[in-house]
Amino acid sequence: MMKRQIPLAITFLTGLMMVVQYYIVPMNYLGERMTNWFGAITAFAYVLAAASLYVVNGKRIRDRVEGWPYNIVLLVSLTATLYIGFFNDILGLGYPGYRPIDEGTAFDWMFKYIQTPLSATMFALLAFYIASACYRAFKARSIEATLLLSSAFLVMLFRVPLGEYMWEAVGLGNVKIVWFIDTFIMGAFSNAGQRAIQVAAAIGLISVSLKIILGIERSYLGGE
Amino acid sequence: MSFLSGSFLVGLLSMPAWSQPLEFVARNAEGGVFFLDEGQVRSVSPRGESPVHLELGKVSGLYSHPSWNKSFLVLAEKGLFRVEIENPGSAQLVVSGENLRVDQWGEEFLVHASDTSEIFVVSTQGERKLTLGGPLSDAVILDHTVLVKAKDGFWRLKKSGKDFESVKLPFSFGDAMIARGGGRAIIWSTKSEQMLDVTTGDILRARAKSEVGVRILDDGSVLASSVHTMTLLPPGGGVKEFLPPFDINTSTFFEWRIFSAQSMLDIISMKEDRPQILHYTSQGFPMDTLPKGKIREIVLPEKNRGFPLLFLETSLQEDLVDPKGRLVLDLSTGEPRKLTVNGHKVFRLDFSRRQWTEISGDPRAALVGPIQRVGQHVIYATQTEPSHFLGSSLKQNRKYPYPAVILHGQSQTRPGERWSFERPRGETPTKGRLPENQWPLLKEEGPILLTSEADSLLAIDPSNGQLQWQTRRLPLDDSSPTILAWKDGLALVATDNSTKRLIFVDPANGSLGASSALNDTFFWSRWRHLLGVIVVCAALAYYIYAAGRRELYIRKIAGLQALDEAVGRATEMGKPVLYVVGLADVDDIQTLASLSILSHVARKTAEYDTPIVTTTSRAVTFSAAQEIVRDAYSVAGRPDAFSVESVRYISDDQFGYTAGVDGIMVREKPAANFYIGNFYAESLILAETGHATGSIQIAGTAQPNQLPFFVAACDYTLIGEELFAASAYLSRDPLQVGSLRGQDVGKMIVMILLVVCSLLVSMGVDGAKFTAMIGLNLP
Repeated sequence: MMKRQIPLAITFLTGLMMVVQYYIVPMNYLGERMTNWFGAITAFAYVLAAASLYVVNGKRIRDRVEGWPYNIVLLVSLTATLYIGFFNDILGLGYPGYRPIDEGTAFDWMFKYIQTPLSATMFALLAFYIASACYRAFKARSIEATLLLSSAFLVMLFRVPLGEYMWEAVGLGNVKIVWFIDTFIMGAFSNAGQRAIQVAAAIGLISVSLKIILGIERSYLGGE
Repeated sequence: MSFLSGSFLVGLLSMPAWSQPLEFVARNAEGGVFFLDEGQVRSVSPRGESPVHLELGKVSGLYSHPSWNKSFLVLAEKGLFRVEIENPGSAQLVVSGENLRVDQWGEEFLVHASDTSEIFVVSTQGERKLTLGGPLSDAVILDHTVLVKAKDGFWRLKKSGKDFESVKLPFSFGDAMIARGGGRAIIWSTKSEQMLDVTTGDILRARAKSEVGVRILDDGSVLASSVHTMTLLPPGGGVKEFLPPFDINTSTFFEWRIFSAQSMLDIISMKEDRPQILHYTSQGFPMDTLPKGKIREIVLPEKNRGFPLLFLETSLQEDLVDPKGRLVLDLSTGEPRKLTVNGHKVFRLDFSRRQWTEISGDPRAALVGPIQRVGQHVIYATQTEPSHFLGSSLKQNRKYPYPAVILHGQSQTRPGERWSFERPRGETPTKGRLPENQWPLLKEEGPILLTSEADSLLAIDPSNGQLQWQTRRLPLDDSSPTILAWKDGLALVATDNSTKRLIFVDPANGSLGASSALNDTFFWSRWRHLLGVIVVCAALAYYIYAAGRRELYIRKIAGLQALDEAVGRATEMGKPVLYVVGLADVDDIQTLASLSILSHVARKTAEYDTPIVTTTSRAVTFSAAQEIVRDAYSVAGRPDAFSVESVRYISDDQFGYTAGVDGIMVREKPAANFYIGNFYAESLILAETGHATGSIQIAGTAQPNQLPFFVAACDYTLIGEELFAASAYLSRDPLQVGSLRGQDVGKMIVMILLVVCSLLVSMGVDGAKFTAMIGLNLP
């Protein structure tokens, strides 16, 4: 009983206060203060998250499940990063007067030369995935799909300088195709669609917030 | 009775020149004050009433003079208004127009708009319009004369004059330039040795054409220079001639610090980081070189009664060491890292020895705040650089973590007389609250008003550095209080915990008087948000209330219908279900909506005995998701089936997380993938990998930019509001279903408003006009 009532009471009071502080001047400082509290709570949650990483991956290594060497790589990387971060000096990697996150330290080196290029590699995959997704999405199977394909083709072509160059090369430079794309396809159709989604989502957001504050929506607490 | 409704024996003051940092105030006989606060004219009585609300739009300035005892001027968006103190609710338009410039000219005010040829002179008697030959481009306001530059020539207005008169120049108008300073203005030309004194109308003559330039020094002397000779014309009359420095040219002439005192002319230039000084005296021009540093300020004595003071900013380069005493090296060069320590030196010009003599200084105390003459003393402040080590935690004073600011007063008549305001911590001023340009003075001769570390106002006597009084602790956050001072009164505007208060202070002893809140209790600028929220919430609340009475129809949402189907498919295939919560933390409502759907999916997987893998990228989301999945297994009656591997924290890094989830998809080949929550650039990478592994995919997000990717790559997509409707749809709880109906009514209201507002805007009726039409008077 209390396990459910206390969190609901906290949610109700906190939610109500966050709404009220947005409109009431003398309470306005509470919003920022509670956001800071969230940061403090997050720090504690990281201990649980890191423990989960060790437990889940340790279990997979112990059970020798498929791909278990990757779990070893993960745990070694995690441990090494933590150790270098916490015990820089003990390892002899530290420099007098520097914190591990300062530029030029071993920790910074790992961030710059391991983590950043790996992230960039993952991000670069997006280019190929956009191509493959477009290929599937733009198949002209119906009138709607054909319209989608044509407008997407126009937008893609004229959002790069090559399209404009080709347009001028075929002698249509005085027909303002880029203006048409910006004003109608992107400015009217695309923008209107996006705003419709945003307005509806905003109302949905108010609805969920109200339900959470009133305790009607409780499934995020589990057990419902 | 309101203090404004009584008769006003008005006491009204504008800021005198010595108290520039103090804000303008006007005061009425009952002690109420008028002042400018965030673009609004405010009036507050000592009893805390705040009755004046002038509908003038955003106000950018208030103007008055001690002799104005019945009204003051308010510069607003639409023009300059005169406000009667006896009847402050009504304001009379004096000069209409936008972007007006208002300059004080003794007891009168000059008002003009840029690029017009009209100037208004506003006085207590009324206003008169004067017209020039062309649009005004520049104006010099002197005590008794106003000089303006128009398209066709210079025009001059004398205090006693009725209108602007054209100024006749001894040279061509096209070559004319204005030099101003020391309370006078000169019109000069590089092609002539003649110059026109604007105030007297006299023609001044230099020894040669002023081809290098003309400057007016602080004491009012005119210095005209050619390449070969410099002519000094002191204000009292006479002519002196000097040989200019060899490197003189137009740019150096105007860059140099030049001043004249007791028949000496000093020219200060910088040579290799050192100030080099040429003293021109009757005996020639000896040269002085000061230590390395940058001149911060040269303060001349009042009416030549004393000596000039020069404040030099110095710096030291010290080796940086860590707390263990080890040298800190630069990691790229291997050289010891240096720490710059700022200090200062104070010099006085010794007239008898004709050189600058150091009288005080500290190599580890930096100059902070303004340097300004107050009476016979020059007031300045220093802050001692702490001995500190990079990368280490300082042994700090927790209450006052920064070194104390020490206020000093150096006598300009007696070199040895210098006071320092050194008090226990808490009673010293703080650097963050020091004024930028001038020390705030209560009256012309002081005291100086400063805020202490312990949030009280200090009044310090500038002649001896004694603390005259100190207020009690003020309700202050980190900001500085705005000081409002008038002839015999003092008040502060202090902000703390988003509440702004006006606090009256007794200027005789610093005791705090009445205080009143200045800001409204309600954010009136947000009334539209609140109205929208109330309407939507009312619709929601009504339908939630009405939900139990009759069954409501909910249209089918394919993505949500398919949730169970996807879990069933995974069960049939004997493969796990992957649930990706998204990148945002639990403070994002999309994450909360996702967690609600997770609860439903986890219960289904528990019922069907299908493994679920939930991936999270935030630690708090991980904890919440773990509880939800564990509870779902308990509710399904299979708590033992819950595995710690069901909920996994991957990484906070966006693409580290993406790589981790992709790895799970490729290795564990889940049969159903759910991407529900807040997604960014990783959305398509995840969805395409899932597609490649052959999973059935259901996505849901309110991020409009990511929806096309999910639509293209997934089998079902919950678009925007469908994500938020999911919990009600899945639970079929009457209360939640009612909220869906309320949501639809909210959307209907928005749609009607969109159509109506689009029509109104098309007809030229904007928001302000509309609210005025329907009689609403809201910000």
